[in-house]
Amino acid sequence: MSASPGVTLGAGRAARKTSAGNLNPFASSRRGRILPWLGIAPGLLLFVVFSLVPAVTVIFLSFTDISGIPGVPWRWIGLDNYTRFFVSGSTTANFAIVSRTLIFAFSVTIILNALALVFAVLLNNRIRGANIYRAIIFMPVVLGVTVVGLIWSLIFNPTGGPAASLWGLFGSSSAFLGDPRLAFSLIIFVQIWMSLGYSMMIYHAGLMAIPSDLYEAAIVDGATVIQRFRHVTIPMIASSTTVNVLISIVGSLQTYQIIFVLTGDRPTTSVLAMQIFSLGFGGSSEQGYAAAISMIQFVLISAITLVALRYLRKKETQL
Amino acid sequence: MRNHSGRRRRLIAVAATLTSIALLATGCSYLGGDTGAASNSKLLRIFVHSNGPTDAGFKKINALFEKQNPGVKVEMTTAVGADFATTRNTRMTAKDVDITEGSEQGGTSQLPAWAKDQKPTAWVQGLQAGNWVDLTDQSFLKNFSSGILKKYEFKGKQYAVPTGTSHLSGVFYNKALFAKYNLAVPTTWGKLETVMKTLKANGVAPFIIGGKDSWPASLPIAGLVQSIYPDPVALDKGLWEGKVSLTDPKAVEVMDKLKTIYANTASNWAGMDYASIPSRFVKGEGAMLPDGGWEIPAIQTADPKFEFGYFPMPGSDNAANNKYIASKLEFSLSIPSSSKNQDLAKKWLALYSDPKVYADFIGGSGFGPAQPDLKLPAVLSEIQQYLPPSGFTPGWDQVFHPNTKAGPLAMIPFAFSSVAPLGTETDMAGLAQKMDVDWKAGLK
Repeated sequence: MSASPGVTLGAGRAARKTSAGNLNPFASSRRGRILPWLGIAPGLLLFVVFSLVPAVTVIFLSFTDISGIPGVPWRWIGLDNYTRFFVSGSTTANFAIVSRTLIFAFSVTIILNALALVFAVLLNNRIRGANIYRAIIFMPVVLGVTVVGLIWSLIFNPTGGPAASLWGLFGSSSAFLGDPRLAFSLIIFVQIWMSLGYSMMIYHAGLMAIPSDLYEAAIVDGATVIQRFRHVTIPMIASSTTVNVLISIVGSLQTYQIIFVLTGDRPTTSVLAMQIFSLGFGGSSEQGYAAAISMIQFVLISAITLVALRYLRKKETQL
Repeated sequence: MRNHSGRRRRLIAVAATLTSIALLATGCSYLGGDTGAASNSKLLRIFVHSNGPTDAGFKKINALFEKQNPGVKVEMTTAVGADFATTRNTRMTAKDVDITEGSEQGGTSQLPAWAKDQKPTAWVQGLQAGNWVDLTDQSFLKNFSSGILKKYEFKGKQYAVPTGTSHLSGVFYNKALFAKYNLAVPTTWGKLETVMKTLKANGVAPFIIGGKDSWPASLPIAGLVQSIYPDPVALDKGLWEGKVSLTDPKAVEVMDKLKTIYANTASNWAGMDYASIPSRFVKGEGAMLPDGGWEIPAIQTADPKFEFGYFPMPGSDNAANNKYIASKLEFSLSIPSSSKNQDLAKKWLALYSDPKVYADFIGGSGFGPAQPDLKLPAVLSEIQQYLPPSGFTPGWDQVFHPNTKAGPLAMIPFAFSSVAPLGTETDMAGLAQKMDVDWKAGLK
């Protein structure tokens, strides 16, 4: 069985192209070049129509006074929406919202990752019922924001709720989610509680991939538990840490749902994403201004994520 | 073997692609918004904001309408307050609604000359854009009070059918508790202070408010402004023209009295949600509840035998300034120009406007009536003594024109949510200064 010269030639060209970096092994024929594009076309179309076009449109709308009311014309107002955010009577309040957004994101990211790693390491040991404990910690992820919000609203009910009863044991009482000094901390706590299982599972996957030989060698070398954690576990789960930190930063910078469910849009708990929701969809009919704030949020998230990514990648190679 | 599995993979890929296309096509056809029932004009779609008492009233009317019009199905859907406007706009664009709320509150409130560089309400913008069907010639409008209809008029035409009015500057009180401690309905601020002291001395929280939702805590403001500023329109104009300052003694007085009310409200009220308030009130967790008339059905549902009354918030020491309860025009019903069932929608509105049907609706809604000479439930009849001869005096939130360029403390004066325990401010003169700075920042 001998191949025809044409086929041999084509196969050779394909092999050359593949080795030169072209990942399409069928690129030798026209059909072979078109087929992969046809394959990804539906997905690409959905991405362009439902993600790319709306994203680019938001940039455009941020320079208009669009209200979202059917038939009402909108005007190009240049930088007015941005001026309103940065230079107006609300500037101080807006910067307070930005700073609250950052506090929320950094608190959640740091505490969440520390706790998730601790739980992942603890449950990675041969503990009886480790799977059950992991399932319990993961459960809030499955419940979803609304159910989690409802559960914690009931727990923090100032009259008769479990938290109030606990406070009562110490002769104290609190309005909990209604207390402007406490509400934001409670929201951070609930957000961490809700996301802990997801982060823990990512760390758990990273821990599972560490070869046991490394620990055995470290034990032979006389390394203590802390030294093994510091010099074996941490470097080996560096990629899991990168993924977890980035997911936490991006996710918490975009969060408004749990805040909306627990306290609504209040001056003491509002964050950027909450402002966007309230202005764009909360009956304010200020979608142009909401689009401008979402662009500010986009720049903030991009900048923080890029810096974090660069730092974490550098750390990964150092470790 | 390899060929067989390759063919199977191809088959799966083709099936997955076809399923995706079918799903997309289904989605697109749904977005087209035309169901079979709609195209033959047998489906009437009503969309309103979610509110138990009015929803129940509409459902009764829908059932009656379906009975009177065999073959017609009324599909009523609702959305909670924050989602309502966006959903309505989307459904109007998709030509998917036949009757909905036009003016959400306040009637057709046009911008006065002094409110510069502001946009009119969404309702007025929609009217200017021609989004609503002209109902001027509909005979059923004659059933409504001309004074109320006038407030919905736009360029001499009618586009809205009123639902009613809501009294918002009053205070509900527990009649049994008042009788137990020999308390009379207070008519001045001094008398209210005595009532608060007596209740507190007997271990009863004078007030109860659902502070967790924030907005219910703004309701005492309506009564206080009503009493302290006899002409709220002049206050709005004065603020816009820079002739009235939020540091004026009267403004500080409003804030100080608000602080007193908050200090006399049940402990940890800032964490109580609004939905739980009617049951807490009937249980006696607070003897007075500053709230709107729309709460009457919820209080009655919490305990049908509970006896309560409603009096104007006495914000002034001059009883004459406290004699009226301010109200707001409730939402209205309108037909979007994009509706394909306009005749059927008008027929439904005619049934709703029938005095007998409307009286039943009003009885369950807790609203004040928009039709004259209706027989009212006992609680609403009792409130009539606190209404001006015209039957309606607008509350501060209906009169004030917000300035989008102002700071957050003055977006809607007065900054109730900054007052402790909702916020952290305890020095009201200091807070008034901050409010003034925020307001004036919007006038530059």
